[in-house]
Amino acid sequence: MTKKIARRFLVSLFSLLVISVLSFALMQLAPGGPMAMYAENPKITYADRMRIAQQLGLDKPAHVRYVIWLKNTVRGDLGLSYATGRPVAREITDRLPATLKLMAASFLISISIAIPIGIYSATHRYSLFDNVVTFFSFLGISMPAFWFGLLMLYVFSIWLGVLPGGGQSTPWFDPLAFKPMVRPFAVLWEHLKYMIMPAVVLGLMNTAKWSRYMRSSMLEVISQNYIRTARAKGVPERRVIYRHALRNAMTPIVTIMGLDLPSFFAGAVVTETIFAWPGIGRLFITSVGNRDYQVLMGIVIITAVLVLLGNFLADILYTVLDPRVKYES
Amino acid sequence: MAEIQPSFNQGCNQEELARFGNLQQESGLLFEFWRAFRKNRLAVAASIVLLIIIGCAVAAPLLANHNPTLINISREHVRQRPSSQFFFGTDHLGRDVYSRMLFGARVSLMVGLITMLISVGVGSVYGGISGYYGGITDSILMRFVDILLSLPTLFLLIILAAFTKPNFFGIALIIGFTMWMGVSRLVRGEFLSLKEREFVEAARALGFSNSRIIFRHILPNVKAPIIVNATLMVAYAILIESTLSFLGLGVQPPQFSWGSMLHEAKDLITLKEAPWTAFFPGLAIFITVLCFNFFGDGLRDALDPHLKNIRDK
Amino acid sequence: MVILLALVLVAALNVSCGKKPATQPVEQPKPQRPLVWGGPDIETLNPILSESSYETDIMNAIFSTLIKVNEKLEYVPDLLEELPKVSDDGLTYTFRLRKGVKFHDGVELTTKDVKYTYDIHMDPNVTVPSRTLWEKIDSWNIVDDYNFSFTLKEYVAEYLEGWAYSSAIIVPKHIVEAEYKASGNTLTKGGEFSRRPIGSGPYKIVEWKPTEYIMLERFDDYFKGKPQIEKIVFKFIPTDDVKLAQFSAGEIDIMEVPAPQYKEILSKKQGGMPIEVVNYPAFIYVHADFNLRNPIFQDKEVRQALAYAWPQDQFIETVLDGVGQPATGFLPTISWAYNPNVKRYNYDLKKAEELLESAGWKLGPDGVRTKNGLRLEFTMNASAGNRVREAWQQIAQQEWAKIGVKAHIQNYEPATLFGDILDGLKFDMIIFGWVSGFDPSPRTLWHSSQIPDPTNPETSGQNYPGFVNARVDELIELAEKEMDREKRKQYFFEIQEILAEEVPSIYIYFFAKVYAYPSALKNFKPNPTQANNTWNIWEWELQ
Repeated sequence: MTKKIARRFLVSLFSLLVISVLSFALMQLAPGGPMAMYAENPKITYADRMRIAQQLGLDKPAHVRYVIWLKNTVRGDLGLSYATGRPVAREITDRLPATLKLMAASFLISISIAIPIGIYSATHRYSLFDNVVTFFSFLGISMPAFWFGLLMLYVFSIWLGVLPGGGQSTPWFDPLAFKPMVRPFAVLWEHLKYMIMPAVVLGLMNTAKWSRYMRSSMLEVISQNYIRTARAKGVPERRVIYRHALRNAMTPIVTIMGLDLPSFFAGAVVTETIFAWPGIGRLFITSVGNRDYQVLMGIVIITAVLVLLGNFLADILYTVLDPRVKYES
Repeated sequence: MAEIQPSFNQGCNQEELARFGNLQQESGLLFEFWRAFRKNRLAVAASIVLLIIIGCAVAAPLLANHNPTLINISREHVRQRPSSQFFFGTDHLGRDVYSRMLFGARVSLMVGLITMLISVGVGSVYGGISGYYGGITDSILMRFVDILLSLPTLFLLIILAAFTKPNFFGIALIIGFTMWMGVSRLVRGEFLSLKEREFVEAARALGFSNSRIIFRHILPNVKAPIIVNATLMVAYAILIESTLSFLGLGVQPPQFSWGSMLHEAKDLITLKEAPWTAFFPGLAIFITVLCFNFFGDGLRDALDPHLKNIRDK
Repeated sequence: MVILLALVLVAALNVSCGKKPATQPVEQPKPQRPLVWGGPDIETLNPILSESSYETDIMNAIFSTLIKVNEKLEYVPDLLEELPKVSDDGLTYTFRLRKGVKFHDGVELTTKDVKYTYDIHMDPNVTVPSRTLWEKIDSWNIVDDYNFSFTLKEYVAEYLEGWAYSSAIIVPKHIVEAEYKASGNTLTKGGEFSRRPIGSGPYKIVEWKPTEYIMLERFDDYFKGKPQIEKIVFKFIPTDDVKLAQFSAGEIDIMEVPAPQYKEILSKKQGGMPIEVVNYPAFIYVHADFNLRNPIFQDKEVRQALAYAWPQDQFIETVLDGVGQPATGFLPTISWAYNPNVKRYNYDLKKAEELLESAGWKLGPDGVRTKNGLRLEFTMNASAGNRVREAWQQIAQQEWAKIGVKAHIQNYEPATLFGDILDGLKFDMIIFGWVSGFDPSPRTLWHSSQIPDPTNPETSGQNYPGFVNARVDELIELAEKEMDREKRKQYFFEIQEILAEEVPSIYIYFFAKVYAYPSALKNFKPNPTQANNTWNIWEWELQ
């Protein structure tokens, strides 16, 4: 097992290298460059732009810049952002907690809703509950995140006025203004009230999607011979479902979840923009607009690590969930 | 081709087990299929609705009562409520939403279907091969998928937007290209587990070729997740197409789709003042996606006899 | 999740059940809530490196300039005792600084800081976005700590204007020089002075949370007296929708209102929300540039016909909800050099068709006009997702089809549009906005020496259409040398007349800026120039 993991680790490192080369090349191919943000400013002349490009090291050929980038990255230095001049690592770590917080919350929301619903729907197929759930999950899937977000903003912020219209914290929030008795609740609410809407919106798509997968996977498993056998042997239904079927039905769901990990990142771009959530997604969008390749490379590498990690964990979970899967190398 | 369908209650010998994985072909008689499909009323209703939607798209010029691209920005014409003249109201440029919906269905349905076919097709074959062979093949193929998944898709799209002016087929190709990786990982996961089953071993023992085992024995057993995925894919493709216009990659005016209609109506002010401009295209996408799903369910059940048994229980 | 829900419930219950006097949080003495401004994210607060107007809004609060432009577009002294004296030849400017001006760290601001600000801007190692103001200076004469003068290389009209804007903010020598040396003889946007700057303005920085907000606190020793408002927060908000939601919920107090939200905000005011709404013309205009290198745009009649063939007034009334003015040239109506009598292109399809006929463009069998084998068919580019410009494109496309002109639409995300399509001159027609200066000289836009050529790095300028007109060149040069404003005005009038006749670009509309702010806020005096609306932030009061 250790050997396998070590091997997988080396392969992952190689993948990372390939990803970095390809991403770097993609960015070079993309039209416009880091200087594009100066093009619309009438006060900045061509000569000014050339001077700035030279100072940022952008006058060197692409392969030279890649080698410089790689050398520094291996040493743990992701370089400086073209737009803000701050270390890329700082730019990312400043925003990572917000994104992770959001991802974790929506991930929790998604699985804790999707899995029970999927199981119940599968075991009570074509019941009223099943049909209602199906209806709503497709409503969830066909509703674009930006639309659902706007609807939430309209209802909860503008109309009812119970939740803040975006952001992550109240700049003037002061826990000491509350009596000690209520202070923990005030602090908790301060955190939750900003998180509820974005987490629900980010989780919506996956909740709907995962419940569909869970349902179909469960249906598939229940019809297998060994479940029939278990039933025939008089194993109680609950036990059949939760001990025998569930474990097997989880295999594809785990793949999907591992696969959807980066999609949370992608979804974060939309959600963070709708709700002004100060996370990586917004940094990414801003950096694409500025063609801030330094920051983008940093984000790409971090996302790639997440993807590789997600798939790796999914594969390990497989072997745990489904003993039939042998991990041959 | 047609043989007697093995019943589950019979004892299973190796040969029958091998055939079990092969059921799709064996029971592929259209009549058999239709008889099974017909029993699922929801699926039949969904197919009828889908046919109606497709019919509307085809017959759009006959059904539309306005020119769908005609702009009229006089005050009395912009953002009108639904009325007998404008069934679904007018949008921010005074265009008739009802007529736009009819014509918009064309691009949306084509993009949805083609994308689904591309991504499911490529993804299943790729994932199947990877999962079946396992080992080093699997490692290489899956690492390649990992790499593709990690690339910044947005940049790929920006580059494509700068160098191409795609029609709807091009758009479908682009979306399909960004979506097949998911299917492949899913199918591969199923294959990893299925290939250890008895019926595969039986098929191997009978000396069937690998490709026969992959495509005719195992793949049919992965139908369920693939079909679920495929129906969802239609929805995603329709929605993604709308966001592509942000990058200048979607359909460009005067062309339009349900997605681009929804996209043009995406702000709080429109939501408040002219909700119909978003509601109707949104509803159309919802109904289409829902019907595709029920249709998919029916299809799966009709193709998959042991699931049918549960329902008959 | 269950836990999370439970927590939410508990928290919600706690808030709603807080009616019990003992636990009611609202009963606590509330700290004074800061004034909150909602706007886009920024990159730096270092005025030497800044190039965005949103940064100016915040930097106005932290720093001071020698002079300011007030809401009536007049110069008023800021760090100076009085406006500078200008020599008769217009070359030498003499200044007298106020005494006792303190930076936030207590060090006094003197002429050495002014001179250092010049030196650092001219330092080749520093990535200064624009040196136009500074490179005009030939020599300095520092008399003592408070008196100084400088002489320009040549006469520059309206030279003082630049001294009112963020690029002329006086930086503290003792701070900036230390950072300059510490970072290897350069300055970066990532430096301490970018993130926690020290200025001499009415507010000092307390906290900067990236992509969230910047909090400022009043500077008690501000040289014009302690400001009345204690704290001001600039919140970074990425979309207009969130801005509206936060404004409606009272989480932000001041915001720029985008045109589509104008009516909504007005109705809120009428509905009793204690806010004021100001609507004033700005120096920004949206236009569609022709690429004059394209043979189909050679005939003036073609350009005029296209200008006639779209309903400008109706467009502003419905698409912009009346927030904006019809543009007739590059100068807004509020400019002193605005010429109200230039040729107007009122919607007239018949006239457009006549013009095309007269120039020899005949209708082809497919409804598109042709001349000498050229088809009147081209592509318009704009930023994808900009709904106002996309609406204009679609309207123009439909109207132009009526006169036999086929226009295609192909939009790109902004970085591609500006960095590649515009910069690489790869357009037939491109739609975007310009900010015109307070000084009306259109040199970089319309002088023939300002035609950029991507293959020749020596070229510079923003004459992207490639407009060449000897008379315009001459008038621009004359106006730049002229010291008498009345005479300059005549030159600018003529430039506007020529441009209106030649139509190198179709002027679509002038931006109107709309701001909403609390009724309790006094002395909020919007300024359409690059001084922005925070130019007098020290005077703001909450009642």
